[in-house]
Amino acid sequence: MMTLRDYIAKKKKKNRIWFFGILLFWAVTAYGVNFDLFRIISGLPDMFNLLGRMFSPEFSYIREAMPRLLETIEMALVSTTLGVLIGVLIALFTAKNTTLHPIIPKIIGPLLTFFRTIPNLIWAAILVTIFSVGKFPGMIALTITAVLITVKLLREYIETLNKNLLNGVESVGGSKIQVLRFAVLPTIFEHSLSVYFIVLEINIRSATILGLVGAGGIGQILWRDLNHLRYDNLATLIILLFLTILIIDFISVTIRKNLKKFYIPRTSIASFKLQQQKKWGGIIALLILGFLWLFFSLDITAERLIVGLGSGRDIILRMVQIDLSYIPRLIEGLLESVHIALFATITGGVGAVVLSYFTAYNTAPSPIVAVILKGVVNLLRTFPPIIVAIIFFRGVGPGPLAGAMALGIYTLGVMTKLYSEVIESAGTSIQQGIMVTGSTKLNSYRYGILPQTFPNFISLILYRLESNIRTSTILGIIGAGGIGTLLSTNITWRNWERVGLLILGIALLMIAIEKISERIRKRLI
Amino acid sequence: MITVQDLYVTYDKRTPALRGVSLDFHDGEFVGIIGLSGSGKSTLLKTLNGLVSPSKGKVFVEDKDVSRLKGKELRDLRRGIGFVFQEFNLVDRSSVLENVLIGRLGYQSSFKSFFGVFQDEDYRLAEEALETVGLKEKTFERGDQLSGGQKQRVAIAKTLAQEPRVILADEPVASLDRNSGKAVMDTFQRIQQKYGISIIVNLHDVDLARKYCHRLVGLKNGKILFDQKTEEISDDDITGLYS
Ligand SMILES: Nc1ncnc2c1ncn2[C@@H]1O[C@H](COP(=O)(O)OP(=O)(O)OP(=O)(O)O)[C@@H](O)[C@H]1O
Ligand SMILES: [Mg+2]
Repeated sequence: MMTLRDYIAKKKKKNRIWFFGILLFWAVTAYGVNFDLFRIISGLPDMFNLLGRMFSPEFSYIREAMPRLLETIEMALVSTTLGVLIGVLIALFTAKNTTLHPIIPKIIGPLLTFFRTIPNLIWAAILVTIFSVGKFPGMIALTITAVLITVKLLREYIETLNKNLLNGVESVGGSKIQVLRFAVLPTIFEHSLSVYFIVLEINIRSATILGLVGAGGIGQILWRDLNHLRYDNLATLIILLFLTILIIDFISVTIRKNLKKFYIPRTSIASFKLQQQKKWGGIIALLILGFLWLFFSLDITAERLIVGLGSGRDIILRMVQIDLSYIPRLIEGLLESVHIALFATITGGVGAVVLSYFTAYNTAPSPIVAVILKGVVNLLRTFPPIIVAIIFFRGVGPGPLAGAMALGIYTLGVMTKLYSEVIESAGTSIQQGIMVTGSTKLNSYRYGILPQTFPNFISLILYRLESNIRTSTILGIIGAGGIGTLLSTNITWRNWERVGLLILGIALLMIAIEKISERIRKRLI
Repeated sequence: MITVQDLYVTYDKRTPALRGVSLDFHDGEFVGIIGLSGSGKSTLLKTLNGLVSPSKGKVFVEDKDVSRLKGKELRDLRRGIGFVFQEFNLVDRSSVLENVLIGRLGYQSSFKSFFGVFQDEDYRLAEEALETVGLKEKTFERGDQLSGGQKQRVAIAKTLAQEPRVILADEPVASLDRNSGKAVMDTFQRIQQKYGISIIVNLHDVDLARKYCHRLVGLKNGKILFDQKTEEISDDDITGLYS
């Protein structure tokens, strides 16, 4: 029998072990990313100086950057539209319950999982060497990402659809295609639209950084200014990006919230028929318009395309002959990426536990604090980490520390937003149950809400870890540490056998992390 | 019209659901199938339109052996048989009209119907079907705005649009309250009288079955306990069925 005192002692000991365990772990990763508080503090003035300049952008430079910005938005829009359309089709044909043949998901599923592990900046970097600098490679990279995300989000949704829904069309003698068209498509339509906007939000962020590897958009001048140390221009570009992302996010979220109100009832069969004709006329016109737009906006000739496809095939053939002698460097690079990701996840995660307390309406000391912090948090997660890394370059110079700090800040933003929402929905009942005992708000958080919602927190942080590891593999492309550095040099030097090995290594790491986190998540529920 | 010969169905090679069922259904009949939960009612109905295949025995619809039909032939068979589900199986996000038009799909080529192109005749049939089930004023509402009873009547309108010879209904009122249930059963009755379409319906409510059906089939443990005109069935038969 365990006495109460034993229980308390044990629990205290367990908590202490966890505390020091995480601290030790953090210290290891901090060492791995060359964490140096002094360097950060002494770099702060320079960083603030850069941030300060963002408030007085140079209008003459804005005029120069405008065409590039429009190009960025265009890339995001076109690739999202194309990618989501293709993705919806693939999702329909690969979901287990709607596929035309049960073998299709078994083949395509693992293939897509593999491709999803490769960050789109890497796609872009490879495509740029194939099709040369410009927005064409960027568009393809973004389209690939859009397809992959759409398939993932939508396929899971389709697989939750009830068998009854499909039976309702099958039982009238409908074919499989008709089942898809009349039962599945109307049902997933709303969801697909919301997926479209989610993908758009992701793609506008990616589109701004693709230029770092020469794949079009505003990132290309960003990269130029970075190399020329034109921090004044950088500040202007960053504020432009910030506003663009903010506006697109705002439009997207507004539309997503109001999707449900789109149904317009008809009044007669004739008007219904007319609407059908109009609908299809509209869709076909839109498709033609889209393809024309795509066609004219692409900066590539047919010859170049054919040459590119040929060299693409050669590159793939070389990539599959992976260079095993490069394994030691691969491991070194992966380890640094993992350090960056873990450091960012732990730092940002612990920070988010604290910050969420002040950000959630029901725990914050005052609603004003909550509102202000919500604004700050949204700010933190607006910038792609790779852009924040550039800001840190100014303070601490290139290297893993800049990457780790940037990723940490992004993690702090995302985690605080998500976790404070969890706390808000966990409701005030737990809190009140503890507060009536005369305890303080802080204690009700520490002993009530926190333990109650901790499984949610762990599950959120695991998703974040997956995403952080993916991001940490590309930070090196601009010199912010990790395996990306090796990748970009080997892509530049066209050591495709090594690139093949690096990509395989990243894919295996990603799949391993996904599997582990999936297992932990399942055990939590 | 439908002949069932010595039918056996075993799920997963282990669970016997039907064990030697033989019976005939004729044109224009209103037949009720009753029995305890698990007695095989749903299984029997589903073998009639090929949703479940028999492990032994045969089902003939208009002299066609159902278990031998595949692909196009099976779809052709199904379009002539309406099937009404307990859970309605409507497409909630589509309008009532679109749901009823689904009943016409069996007559369309996949390609044409992909673009939602229906003929005037299809619209006429859909309108008429909605009129028959008394929901004409709901034609343009969305599926998810209807009550359960209304949804089931839309499902019936959908099967009517198929111009079927027979409608099979698997516990069509089990998810409904009494009044909506009665409205649905009245609709079946009207259809049977007006068009001479035969109705074969699974019910667990014996009172409803006795009130509407002309003939009752009692299933127990996958076998037929009785199969008689409703007025010939005694209370003892019923007690035997549910004991
Ligand atoms: N898809 C299936 N897989 C395996 N076993 C099944 C399946 N469907 C039904 N069974 C089994 O077959 C037997 C008969 O089921 P059936 O659904 O035909 O009965 P029922 O009379 O319709 O019952 P209920 O009134 O509950 O709907 C039951 O033992 C059931 O568990
Ligand atoms: Mg049943």
